[in-house]
Amino acid sequence: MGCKGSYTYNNCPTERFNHHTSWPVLAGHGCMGCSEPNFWDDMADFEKPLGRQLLHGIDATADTIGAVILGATVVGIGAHAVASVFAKPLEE
Amino acid sequence: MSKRVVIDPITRIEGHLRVEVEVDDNNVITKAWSSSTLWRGIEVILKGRTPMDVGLIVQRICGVCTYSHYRCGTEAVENALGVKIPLNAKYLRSLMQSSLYMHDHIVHFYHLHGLDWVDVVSALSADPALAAKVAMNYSDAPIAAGEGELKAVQARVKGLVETGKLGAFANAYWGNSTYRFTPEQNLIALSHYLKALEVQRVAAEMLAIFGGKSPHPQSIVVGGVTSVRDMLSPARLQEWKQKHAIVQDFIERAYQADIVMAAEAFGTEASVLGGVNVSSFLCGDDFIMADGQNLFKQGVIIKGDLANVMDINPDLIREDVTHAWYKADGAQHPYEGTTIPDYTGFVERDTVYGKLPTLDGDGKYSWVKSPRYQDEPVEVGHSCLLIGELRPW
Repeated sequence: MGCKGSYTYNNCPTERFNHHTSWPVLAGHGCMGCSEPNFWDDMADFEKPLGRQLLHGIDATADTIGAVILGATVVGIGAHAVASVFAKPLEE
Repeated sequence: MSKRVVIDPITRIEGHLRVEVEVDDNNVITKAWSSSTLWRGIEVILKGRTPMDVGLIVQRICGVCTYSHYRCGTEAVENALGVKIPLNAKYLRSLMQSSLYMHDHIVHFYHLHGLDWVDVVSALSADPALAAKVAMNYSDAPIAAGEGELKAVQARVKGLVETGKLGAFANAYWGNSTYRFTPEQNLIALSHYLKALEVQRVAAEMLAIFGGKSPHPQSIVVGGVTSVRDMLSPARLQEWKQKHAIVQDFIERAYQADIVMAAEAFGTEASVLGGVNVSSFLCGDDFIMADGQNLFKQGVIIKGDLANVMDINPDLIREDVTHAWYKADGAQHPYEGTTIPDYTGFVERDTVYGKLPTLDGDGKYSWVKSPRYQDEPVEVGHSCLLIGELRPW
């Protein structure tokens, strides 16, 4: 887990930079998510607390993924039901 | 009949540079053009974003002098908003600046352009015992230049050459007659080149103590600094001081000695004796020593008038794009500056390498705007920092 909660995945907190000298949070500055794709657009404004802004790209993606997984489950149940319908006559 | 030579990229810098020269029948350069070949558009990227993020974004223009741009970008916003920062924040920013200053000089001297005047192959044939004596001519107590250490350096680099994988030493002009060091001097400089790799790492750690990391530190914000906990910690301050002592020791006992050694060997070159092309110089003040007192004083000299050092008047600064790939009606003050790309391409010409696209010297040929002071091109940078010392007050 990186320092920007579940949005970053780097090992800065454990390894730190420059021979383990420091890392941005130790230097008192918030993480800007610089190891993540499109962080310049998705993570800005960098000086605002993360919880008080909508993470447009990322939160939207997370919601979409949730919806897609839910949809796929419904389709799965449906497919199973359909398969059962055809399976029964074959068994008989 | 003049001939055109194209060199692209110039690799002895951080960045992207192309140089074209015209030489006459005696191979003397009569004309030269330099071009920055990459469109960056940092000003355009900043549009529509919060001013608070300016420093973080603009420092990505470089991978070496990152902090300078971080600080200047942040201070530009502070100036625009009229924000005054605390004295301790000024001190901390200055400590970071001096860390970078030491780091940058070492890297530039040894690792970026060092191999243009140090012949690595020649160093392999040097006599380490003699070289150890030669080193004493340039320092009373040379670093990494005793007979044993020089022997070890020779063995290390010989081993590298024998593998056939030359790494940083590949594709050079070893043996070229313009190298002037003796084999022994080459060995001393080669040893310092390798030692400087270790020392520059320590200098980067100095910056990281208060910057969080280097390159691209992340501890200054509009209004001050964030690494207050590091500033208040005696352990952290002492850590910085110890690393400073290591780097200072190398600068005094190796770097300065090598500058003297290089000046002795190359000081008679035409490029050194030919004087300066641009005789106007400008420097800002920096490295705070006490409130309102700096190590280097600001000043400007126009057309070589060394007796008349003037205060900088920021209103006289302009950016000219006559020969840069931008659209503008005349030179602009940065406050009113625009960045509108206007790429006009290259011109086909005969060169010593055959027909090639070449720079349009009469038109536009670079992505860098040209700074002007009182309509004059001015040189800025390290030697200019000494201008302030010419001031009578």
